[in-house]
Formats: sequence, structure tokens, C-alpha cells
Amino acid sequence: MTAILELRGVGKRFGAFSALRDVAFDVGERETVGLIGPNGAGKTTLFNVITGFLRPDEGSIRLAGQSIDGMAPAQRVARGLARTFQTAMVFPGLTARENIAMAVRQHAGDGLRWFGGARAASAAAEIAVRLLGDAGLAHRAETPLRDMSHGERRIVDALMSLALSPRLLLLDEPTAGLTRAESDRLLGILRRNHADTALLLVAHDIDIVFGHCDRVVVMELGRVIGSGTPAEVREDAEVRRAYLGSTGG
Amino acid sequence: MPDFLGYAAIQTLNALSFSALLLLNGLGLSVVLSLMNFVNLAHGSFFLMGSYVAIFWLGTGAPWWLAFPAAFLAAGLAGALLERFPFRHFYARPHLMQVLLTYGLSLIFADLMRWGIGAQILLPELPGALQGVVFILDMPFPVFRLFLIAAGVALGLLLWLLLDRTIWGAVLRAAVTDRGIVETLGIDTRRVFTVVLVLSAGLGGLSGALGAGMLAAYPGLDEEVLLLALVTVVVGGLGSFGGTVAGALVVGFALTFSKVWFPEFANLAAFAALALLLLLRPAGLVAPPLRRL
Amino acid sequence: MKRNIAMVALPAAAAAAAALLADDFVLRFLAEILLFGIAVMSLDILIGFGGLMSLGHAALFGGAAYAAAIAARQWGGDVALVLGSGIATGMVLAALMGVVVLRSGHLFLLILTLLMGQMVWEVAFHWREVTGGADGLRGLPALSLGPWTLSTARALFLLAALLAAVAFVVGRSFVAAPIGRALVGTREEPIRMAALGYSLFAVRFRALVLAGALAGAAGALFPFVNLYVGPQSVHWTQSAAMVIMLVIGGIGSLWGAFIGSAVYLGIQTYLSAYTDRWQLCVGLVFVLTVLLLPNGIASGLRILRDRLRRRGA
Repeated sequence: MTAILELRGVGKRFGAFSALRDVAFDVGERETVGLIGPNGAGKTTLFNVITGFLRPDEGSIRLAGQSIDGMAPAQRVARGLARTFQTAMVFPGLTARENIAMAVRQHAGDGLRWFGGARAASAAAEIAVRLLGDAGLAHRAETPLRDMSHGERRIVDALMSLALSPRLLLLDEPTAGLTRAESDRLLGILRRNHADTALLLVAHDIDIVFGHCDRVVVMELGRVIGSGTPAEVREDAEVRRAYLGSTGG
Repeated sequence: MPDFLGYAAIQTLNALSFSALLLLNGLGLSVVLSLMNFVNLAHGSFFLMGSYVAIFWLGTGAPWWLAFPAAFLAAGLAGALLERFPFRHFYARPHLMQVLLTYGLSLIFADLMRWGIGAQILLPELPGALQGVVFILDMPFPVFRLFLIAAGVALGLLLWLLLDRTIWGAVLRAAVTDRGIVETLGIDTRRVFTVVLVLSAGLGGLSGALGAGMLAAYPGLDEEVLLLALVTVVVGGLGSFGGTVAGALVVGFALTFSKVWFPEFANLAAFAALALLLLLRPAGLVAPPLRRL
Repeated sequence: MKRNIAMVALPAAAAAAAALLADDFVLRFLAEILLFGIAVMSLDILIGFGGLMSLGHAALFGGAAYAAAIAARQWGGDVALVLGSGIATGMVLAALMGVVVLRSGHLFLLILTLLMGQMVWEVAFHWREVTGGADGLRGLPALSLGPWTLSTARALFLLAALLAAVAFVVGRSFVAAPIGRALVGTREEPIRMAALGYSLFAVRFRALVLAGALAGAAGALFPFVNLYVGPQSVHWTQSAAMVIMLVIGGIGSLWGAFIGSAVYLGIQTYLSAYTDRWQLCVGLVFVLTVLLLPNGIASGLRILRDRLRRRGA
């Protein structure tokens, strides 16, 4: 298995507080990896470091075999790295179609176009409407995001990232605050569309992590304390102590 | 050589007295900005109002030292009224709207003051104790500017103690961090914000009273002073007491010494230096630790 | 389609009527409104669409005015030369400003644009040999277009109207194009834009340079309408006046800029004949707009139109 993402010795401090210490693991191509750990384990910080929103103090990160250290977030996106945020981060004043078209245009290299922009814009709008239709939101295409439900916003958020056709998609608690049905719908959309996309996903919902992931990485207090298949992780004593809350056994 | 030393000392003192003024005025702007996240571009109006109050007070022959509390109270009262309406309704609005509202108000106040007082340049009749010069290394230096430096240091210390070392300051800082929690403790945060605004406006008025002896008072001074206060607060880094002190010193020294070195293009040189500083430290000299996302 | 025809026909008819009926004073005044309107419209692209609060826009407008006036005194008043030097100056100043200011946001941006603008003012005020210092520049040659001389108020008004129409079409096409949508995206949620792979700097820099070109084009004609250019035209209070015009007219509508500049300059020109307190009036109108009609007269007109339509239907 070739790795799409390789983390080696990644560390990040905020003042005296070590948010990440010597984090190292791989995500393989087309693999779905779950990242779990109690609050404050450093999962979101790790996401920010991988995507370039925070600069690590030490360690190296490689994407598809090439170092991406020091690159700006936008450069990393251009190399196939996309993400969602803990809260749905969308453009509230724009319609669902416009939200997704923004991503489509950038992916097609038309994001900053002015001359001949009309054709690029209508092509992007078409793709956006199709993506919305696939997700069962065709009837909401012209609705501004601020008028949509939390669940719908999350789906649009995920569709924006998928529109970038990323090689690796980082999902920060994509199902938080969603109903069971909405979660299943969202994960269904991701599975259908991500045949070539590897997923790294933070989730608090153990069922989702153990049910959908090929491999699970467990973090606590900024360190990786275990990793393996869902079955292996479930049996790991340290993981149980730290995260699953079981002291006996 | 002693000439040069004396000259350097005088210019340093000049810069310090200007910095003291910038500090007091800047603190007024920065407390509302950092504690209430409110941008008040009418701050220069408080300053000019304080200048006028002090000049008229000193003209009446009443005890001179009362001119300063009078300016503080007058500007503070204006601040209290403005806080009631319309400032209070804009605390939660975006910075852009606050900027527009307060700038518009400053235009109105500027024209009202020009209407009531006239466009001439007014100088205060300083009391004997503050007139004249002292000789420092054989160079003359106005007594009034020494008074400014002393006032700046004393009032700055007082404010620092108030905001940083008293329970009242702690309540204030807590109210900014988490309004809800403070309210569950039974503290009326609206009143806290009123007090901060009155303090800010009063500081503006007080600095105006002090500044009149150095800058005089005239229409348009409000805008000049506002500009300096904004630059002071931003160069220092939004939101910290130490930052405003640093900003006042940097701006005071930059403007004073650029006048010495480049008399013709003094402001150009100083602005370029300050812009360069902001380029190198985009969050100001003393940046509050930020953790977003 | 009907609407598009009306949108072209109405302003064209209004301009033709004004050119036929108005006297020289009014025509010059209208030309001034149009030129400021263009500059304010370009500011609307920054503030209304990009959320970039600039207090240095007059430096682009006035800087271009100086450049055009100096070029005309040197080489004559050919329109292409005047517009070209103004647009180039506006773009260069905007690009310089962009490199310095666009790395910071919010208040820092406000202060940095203000500082940059004041630096231009310092140059205009103190570099007497070139700019005339506090006296400014007078005695400009008449504008010329090929064999024709454009010195009458009517010719200048028509030129300004043509420039305003072109500028409006350019502005609208910019905000409707992907780059304009991206600019709105950077205002709405900059972090998301970065996560989508957009470079915030690239988007904002393009908008600022375009705004510089538009403001520069308007500024280039300004000295010839006004017969004078002085340091006041680059001062930060002029930048603030442009923000006031924008807010009164309506942020985010582009055409509101022209209404705002008409209201502001109307108060300044006509009210100042009756009272010294015109600044008080501007301040009051401005504050009332902010309090009651935060999206300006443009939004007020839109609401009115919708209401009338509903009543008609």
C-alpha cells in the first residue's frame, strides 16, 4: 500500500502547552482512517497543521510522497488535500449552488477568471447543481445557506470539499449534530464519490468510526497512543483506559 | 559635544512628552476597543472638547488644576450620553458599521464645535507654575512638557493598577471574555460597559486638556489626534495595556525624531517607518496570543 | 430583456437631456458627480464586495489626478494620454498599497490604507516643484481627442458620462465574473476560501488593482473638470468623504455610488450657498443613513420598488 499522507515526528506548542508531540502515522491511498481521542487530544490542531493553517514546530509532512512543509493552505489544496471544519464553514449569504460552484471553479482553474468568465461560471453552476441533485438537495440549489438546516449545511460543506476531487479529504467531525439518518446520508455521499479519495476523519461517534473506517488512530494529550484495525484498537488496553473509559478488564 | 548631548536630551524629552499625551489618549481608545470590541472614531471629538473646556476654565481664573478634572467630567458626561444612544446598539455590530457611525458623529461634533467656538486657534492661559522653561544640560526645556511627562506616567500607572490589579478590572476583563458567565454572577454588564465608555471619553477629554498647552486647540485637531490615537493603538497591538505604552513610545519618538532628521518630509518618514513596522509585525508590537479555528 | 433596454436607455436619455438643457455650471457639477461616482463605485468593489475597509482611496483617485495634470502640462491634453497616465498611476499606487496592506485585516487594513494614503498626501503637499505644494496645479491645457478640443462644459460632461457608463459595465462584469464571486467569498468566509485553494491575497490584490484603475480613470479627468488639483484631493478626509458617499448611496449595489456622490456633492455645493453648516448636514444625513438605512438609498429605492410592484400586482 502506498501512502498518500505521511506524518513524521510532528510537534506543535502553544506557549508552554504541547498540543502535539511526535505524531507519526500514515494514511494509505483510498484508505479510510478514523482519528479518535478525548477532547483536547490535539485532533483539530493536527488537522490545522496538516492543512497548513498552523505551522508545526517540528516534524515533516509528506503528501503523495512529496514534502508539503512550509506550503500555504491554498498550495496544499492544489496538490489534492481538502478539508472540512468542525462547524460547517460555508458562505452563509450565497446560495447552495454558488457555494459549491465556488469550489468547482477553483478546481477547474477558473477561480480568478474575469475574461471569458461567463462560460466557466455556467459550467461550474451545472456541475454544482448535479452534485446537489446526487445528494438529494436539488430543490435547495437556490436557497442561501443561512436559511438551510444544520444538516443540509453540513452536506453542502462536504460537497464543496468533494467538488475539489481531493486525493485526501480531512473531515473534522462531519456528523456532529446530525441525526442518524442525516449522518448515514452524508457518509453515503462521501462513499459514493470518494472511490479515489482517501479519508481521514475525526468523529466522536464510535459507531461511525468503527463501522466505516479501515483503520483507527487514537490520540491522547497530543500523542498517538495506538493504531490498528477497529478490532485491534478495541482490544488495546491503553486505548480502552484513555478513551473508551473502561478501567477493568 | 555637550551641545550635542543637550540637544539629544531635549529631543528625547520632547518625544517623551508627546508619547505621554499619545499614551493617555490612546488608552482611551484602546480600552473600548480591547474591552468592548468597539471602534470609536469619535474619540478625537472628546479630545478637542477637553481642550476647549480646559482653555475656557483657565480663562475664568478658577483654580487652574481643576481644569483637568473638569475636562474629564465634561467629556465623560458626553460619553455617557452617547453610550445610551446610539453606541449601545452598535456593540454587537460589525466593525465597519461602528466605524461609519462614530465617524459620522465625529463630523457632527466637529461642525458643532466650530459653530459654537469658531475656527480660530485657541491657546490656554497657563498658570505661572507651568509657564517658562528649565535648563537641562544648558538647553531650555518648557516646564509644561515636564508636567505632561509626569502626568502621563502617573495617570498611566493609575490606570494600569485599576485595570490590572483591582477586582473591578478583573470583572471588566471577565465581562469581555464571557459576558454570560459574569451576568450569572449577578453583575450588570451593561453598566460595566457604560463605565468603560465614560472612562474612555473622560481620558480623551483629559488628554485634550493636557494637550492644549502643547498643541493648542483648533478645528481639525480632533481628526489629527484621532489618527495618531489609531496609529498608536494599532502599532502597539490591539488589546493590551503594554502594547499601547509601546505604541505611544514608538509613535512619539518616530514623529519627534523624524522632524529632527527630515524636517521637510517628517510625517512621510514617520508614516513609512510605522507602515514598515506593521508590515514586519502585522499584529502590532505586543500581539495578544491568537488561536483560531 | 425589457429591463436591460431600460437600463441602457434611461441613463442615456438622462445624460442627453442634461447635455441639452443644463447650463455650464450644472454640467460641470454633474461631471464632478459622475467622476466621484466612478471612484466611489470602485471603492464599493473593495468595501461592499470584498469587505476591505479602505481609508486611502482618495490617494488612488487624487494621485491619478496629479499624474494626469502633470502629464498634460508636459505633453498636452490628449485624452488617451491623460486617461492612460491616470489609470496607470491608479493601478501602480493600488498595487503598492496592496502589497503593504493586504496581509492584515480589519482595523489594521483601515490604518494601513490611511497611512499609505497620507504618505501620498505628504508627497503631494511637500514636493512643490512637481505638485505645486499647497497651491496645487492650475492652468492645465484643454483636453483634446484627435482634432477636437474638449474644453466646453458640455464636452467634459459627455466625456465623464461615457467614462461612467464604461466604468459601470466594467465594474458589473468584474463582480459577476468568477473573480468577483471569489471576492465575495473572501468577505463571507476567508478561511473557507483558503481551504478551497484560493489565495486570499491573489483575489484581493486583483480587486484592489481594478479599483485603482477605475478610480485612476475618474481621477485623471477630475483636474480638467475642476480646472484645479490640490493636495486636498488626496487627503484622508477625502477618502472618508468617499466612504460617506458610498454609505449614503448604498454599499454593495455599484450604482448607489452615483446617488451617494450626488447627495454629498449636492449638499456641499448647494447648501453651502445658504449656510456654513453644510458639514453638519452631511454628518446628520450620514448618521441617519447608518442608523435607519444601513444599505443606503439604493436599498431604500429597491424596497420602495418592490412595494409598488406588489401593490400593482
